[in-house]
Formats: sequence, C-alpha cells, structure tokens
Amino acid sequence: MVLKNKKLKRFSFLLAVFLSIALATFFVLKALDEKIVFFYTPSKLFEKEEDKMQYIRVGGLVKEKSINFSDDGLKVNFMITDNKNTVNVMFEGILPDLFRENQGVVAEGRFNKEKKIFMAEKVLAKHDENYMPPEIHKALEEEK
Amino acid sequence: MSELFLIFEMNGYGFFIWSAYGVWFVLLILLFLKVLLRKKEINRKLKYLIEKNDGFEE
Amino acid sequence: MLRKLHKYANPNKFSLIIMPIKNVCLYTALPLIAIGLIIGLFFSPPDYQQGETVRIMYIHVSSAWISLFAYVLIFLLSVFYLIWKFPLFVLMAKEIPFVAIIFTLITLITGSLWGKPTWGTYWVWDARLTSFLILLFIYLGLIFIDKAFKYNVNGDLSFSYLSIIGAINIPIIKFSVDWWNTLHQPASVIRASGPSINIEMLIPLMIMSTGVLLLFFYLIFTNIQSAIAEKKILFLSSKD
Repeated sequence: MVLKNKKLKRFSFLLAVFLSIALATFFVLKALDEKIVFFYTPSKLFEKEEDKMQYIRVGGLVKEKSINFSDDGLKVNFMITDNKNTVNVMFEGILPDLFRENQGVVAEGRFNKEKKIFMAEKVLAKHDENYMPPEIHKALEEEK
Repeated sequence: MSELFLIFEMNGYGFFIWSAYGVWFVLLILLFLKVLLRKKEINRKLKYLIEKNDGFEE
Repeated sequence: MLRKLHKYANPNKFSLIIMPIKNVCLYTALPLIAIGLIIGLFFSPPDYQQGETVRIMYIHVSSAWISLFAYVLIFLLSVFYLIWKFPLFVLMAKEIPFVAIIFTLITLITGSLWGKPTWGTYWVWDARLTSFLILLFIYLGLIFIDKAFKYNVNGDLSFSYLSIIGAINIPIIKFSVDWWNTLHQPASVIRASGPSINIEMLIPLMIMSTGVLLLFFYLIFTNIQSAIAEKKILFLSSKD
C-alpha cells in the first residue's frame, strides 16, 4: 500500500512522537533502575556499601537444610542463596504457605553488616513460571 | 454432602478462589448490563426521533 | 484498495455488517466460558507448588491478556485515525477503554486474591504490579478525555494522542518481569521457549481466554453500534 505524501507526513510525525516518548521513558527507567528492582540478590546485597541499616529486600532460594525453628517455634532462622553467596536470615512471624526448602523467597528488613544477619520483618514467597500437577512434578523429580 | 463441602473448601483456599471468581462474575455481569442498557436507551431515543421526523431517516 | 474500504467506512453500513459477527461472538463466548469454568474449577489438577489456588489463574491471566490486547487495539485504531482521518476509527477506539478498564480491574483484584495465599501479601510495589496499575489509570484518563470532549474533533485528537503516549506502558508491562527482579513470576505461556504450563492447565486457560476474548468483542461491537446510533440521534435532533 503506497502512502500518499500527506499520509506519509502524518505517519512520520507519529513515529517521531512515539520514538521520542520511548527514548525519554527508556532514560527515566534506566536512571531509576536501582529503585525499580524489587529485591537484591545476596551477592548484590554484599556489594552495596552505603546505608547499612536501610530497609531493603533480599531475594533468592531458601538453602537446603538451613531452616531452623527456635524451641518455642516462633522464631525461624534460614539462609537465602543465589548459588554464589548466602545470607543468614532471622525472622519472627507467620511464614507464607509456599515457604520451604529450595523455594524462591523475598525477605523484607534490615541487614546487620557486623553480625552478617538479615533481620527480616516480612517474608514473601515467590513462585516460578512452571505450572504442573503434583504427580508430574514427582515423576520429574524421580527422573533426576 | 461432606464430599461436596470438600470441593468448595478447596483445601482451605476456598475463600480466595471463590471471592476471585465472585468478583470476576459480578464485574462482568455489571459490564454486560451497562452495555445492553445503553443500547436499549439509545435505540428508544432514536426510534422516537425518527417517528418525530415523519419516518425520515438519512 | 482504500477506495474499496471507503464503502465500509460508512457508519450505518458498518453497523449492519457487524450485527451477525457480534451475535456469533456472544453465542460462542458463553458456552466456551461455561466449559472453561467447569474444567478450571473442578476438573483441572492442582499445582505442585500452589495447590488449589492455581485455579485463580484461569480468570486472572485471561483478563490480563484482554486488558493488554484492548490497548493494542486502541493504539492501532488511533494511529489509523491520525493517518487516514476516517472518523469511524476513532469512534471504535473510544468504545474500548470502558470495557477494557473492567478487565484491568478484574486482573488487579483477582491477582491480589491470588497473591495473598501464594506470596503472602495482597499487594507489593514491584515492576509488574505497578505498571499494571498505571494501565488502569491510563484507561481512566482515556475515559475522562472522551467524556470531557464528547462530539468534538479536538476530543478525537486528544484521545488518539494520549493513547499513543500511553502505549509505551504496554511493552513495559510485558517485559517488566524480565528486565527487573519482581515478586511476580516471569511469563509462562507467551515466551520464546514455549509454554511452561502443563497441558492439563493450558487447555482450560485457552478455552477461557478464547471465551472471554469473544465476549469482549461482543461488548465492543454492541458499544460501537450504540455510538453510531448516538451520532445519528445528534444529527436528527440538530435538524429541529
């Protein structure tokens, strides 16, 4: 379809409008990158120098065999790992139903750098993009 | 009876599942009614105007 | 080719053409939604992680797709209007936001009811959830612009330009889960390596989505007919 001159002009104008907005949005998002990220991985957490006791979120997988409940069962201690670094997390409160070993989690709280402990005030579970019935998951696990 | 109850309980997640489906249903019904009522009202007005103009359309 | 299209750009003719399509949409949509509901609620398996709550996916994901698809439609119709200046394009585009905002609202509410039992929270300000909330506000903006400038060519232009500006949010919504760390999981169906949803769950999702999409088209077509009739009313009453 050949666009006539007038229509070509209108089209180029719209393209210019759209591209300039896209470019502006790109730079805004680029500048805000740090803020848009919902959580830091343990490796990123250790890299961060400023604001040691800032309220932040750290996310990763719950390390296998790292979950320890206190004697009264209220406090829990576990490790979050990104398979490179691990961070020790202390939490007192209600854990989400999906919380278990090897599950993606996000902990909200403050990182105590001296003691190397993340004091969580809230723990959220992440679930991955795989959906399958339990039987199939069991079969897949057995195949491994 | 208890088996039926089990289905609706959804393993303890019944509240979330049924409220989600409830919200979905109610909002869609309201939207459907709104769209149909608008059409009805406009057609009524249009009929009245066409009759007033001696059936002259266009 | 455009000459031929001109014939269909006549609103009255267009209104007659969409009449049968509209009815086919409705009478296919309703059984599909009913089948989707029955399979989704009672016959699909629970998920290995989330258990029964995965059933919320069937209405949440289908509504989310409609919300995004509706915006793409508004965007394309607005671009066509601004290039070819057929009033019918913008008339159609203007009928979409009100229907689409309901689907956006459904997506947000069902998502929140899904988030509580799985993530442990109704709402977080992560990139996916926030950009979807922005979509709701963009739809609200489009609805208000249409209401404020009813039957005014400036309104048509403002509406079209706003919809083009807001379109930048659509790729942000789609790719937010890949570009940033989010609590929301990445895409499961529309992704490069094929769906990561088990077929037993993919089937009810697809049936439901097709049903809801057809219902969406029925609602839009009905609204377009109403809008065309409204213009006629305006024309007839201005003659008095």
